[in-house]
Amino acid sequence: MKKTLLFIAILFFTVGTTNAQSRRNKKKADTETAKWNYDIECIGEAKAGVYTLKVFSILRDESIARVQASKNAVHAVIFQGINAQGTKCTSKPALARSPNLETEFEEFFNIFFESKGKKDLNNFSKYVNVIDGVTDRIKVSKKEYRIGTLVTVNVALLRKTLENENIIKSLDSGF
Amino acid sequence: MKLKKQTLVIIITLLAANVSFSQAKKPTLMVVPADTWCFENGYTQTINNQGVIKDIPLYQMALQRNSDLALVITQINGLLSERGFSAKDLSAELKKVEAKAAEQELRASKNTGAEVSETPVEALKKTAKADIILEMSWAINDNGLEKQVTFILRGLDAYTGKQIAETSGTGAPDFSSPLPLLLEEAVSSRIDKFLASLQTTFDGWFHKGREINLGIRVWDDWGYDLESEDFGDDELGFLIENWLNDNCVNGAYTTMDAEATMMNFEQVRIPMTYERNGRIRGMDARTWAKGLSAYLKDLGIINKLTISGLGEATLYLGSK
Repeated sequence: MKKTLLFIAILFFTVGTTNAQSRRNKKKADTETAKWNYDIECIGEAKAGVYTLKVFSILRDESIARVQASKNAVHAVIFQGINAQGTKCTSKPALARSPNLETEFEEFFNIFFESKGKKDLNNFSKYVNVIDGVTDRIKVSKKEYRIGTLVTVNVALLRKTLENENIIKSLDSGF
Repeated sequence: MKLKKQTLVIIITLLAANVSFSQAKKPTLMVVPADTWCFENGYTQTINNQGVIKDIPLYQMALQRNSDLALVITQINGLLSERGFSAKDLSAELKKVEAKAAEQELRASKNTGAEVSETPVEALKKTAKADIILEMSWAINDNGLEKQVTFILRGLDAYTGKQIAETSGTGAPDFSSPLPLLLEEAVSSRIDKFLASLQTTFDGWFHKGREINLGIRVWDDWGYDLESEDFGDDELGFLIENWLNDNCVNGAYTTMDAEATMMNFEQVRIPMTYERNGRIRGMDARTWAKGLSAYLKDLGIINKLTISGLGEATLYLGSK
């Protein structure tokens, strides 16, 4: 009897700790997301509509590097565009046509970029494929790291989604 | 009975949707190789055009002999189609040109027997009636070890002649990939930038109006000309300009020529849509110039309206 009670107590403790850890990770990821502290380097375009990017995220916790890099890559594709990288990569214009798009559709993007836990099956992650979670790791301050992550972003699919949600206009809109 | 009612409701809903989604006229697009590319690859013919020697591109020959050209055109057409634009196919349009050329050959001047002078490009533009010509070219820089592709793609408004979108650049040096792969990469890596600049142009059209050209001509047997003051409180030419001021988006147009027998207007900004019987319809040069035609008719001037595609209209005054 005692043994059973002990087992149940340990089980509850483990689940509780895991949940608390998960919540902490989510909170951490969302805090980092709000900063949008990253750099992007274009690596290439394997096929039309799929960009290969290296994302350098400035983070305090390496464990959220994959998720954060995915968010940062999608954020850059939508709002910033990608700079040219010599002859290996041409410049990619941002999907956003207006500089105020992020504030105009704040509610949509808050949900879009929300972290929902370890697996993070939220919207943004559908368009990103992480090839290498940590390619570079440089300590930039006492607590922060500059972590490089190699990802591909399916821009064609992302564009289609944003067009269907009426966030951005399609090329043939109005015609 | 119930089923009939449901069918009726569905039909009415579809009709209502059709009314609310009637939109501006979609410009047509066509991909063609640039003249320089044709010349560099030997797909040209030297002709003597009334004493002037010049090279004209032979698109048919280029399509038949260069498989890379067909690849690039197909790829661009496919990418355009993904973004909602079905581009006209060059080879299909060339067949129309051939038919038109056969007709042209039979035409000769009444007095001298001279034939009509027209380059294939002019014929192509005339027959294809693509509103936007996507002109592309590439060059291969081969140092014996590595290959690099320099690619240029330009969007030209066929009626104003303006460059409305562009992308160009040289790809990374490569020593193993075959040329078709390099070309495919060149297109896919640049198309987003190109389409973004095309979209900026479209946004400008919706915001500031579509640019068209307007010509006014006078039949020589008409007793008046554009300097006549018999139709209002000013010369006819100025009355026409007043109408343009009132009917162009923000009164925007440029008078390029103003003579007694002809006037040419460029950068005439017309609205993209108009309303008729409560329905929004797409505006083109013909519909818009019909307004001017009606105005002149009200002044007692019989006129004839002709168009060339969506973006060029000419009015002939004096008779039909």
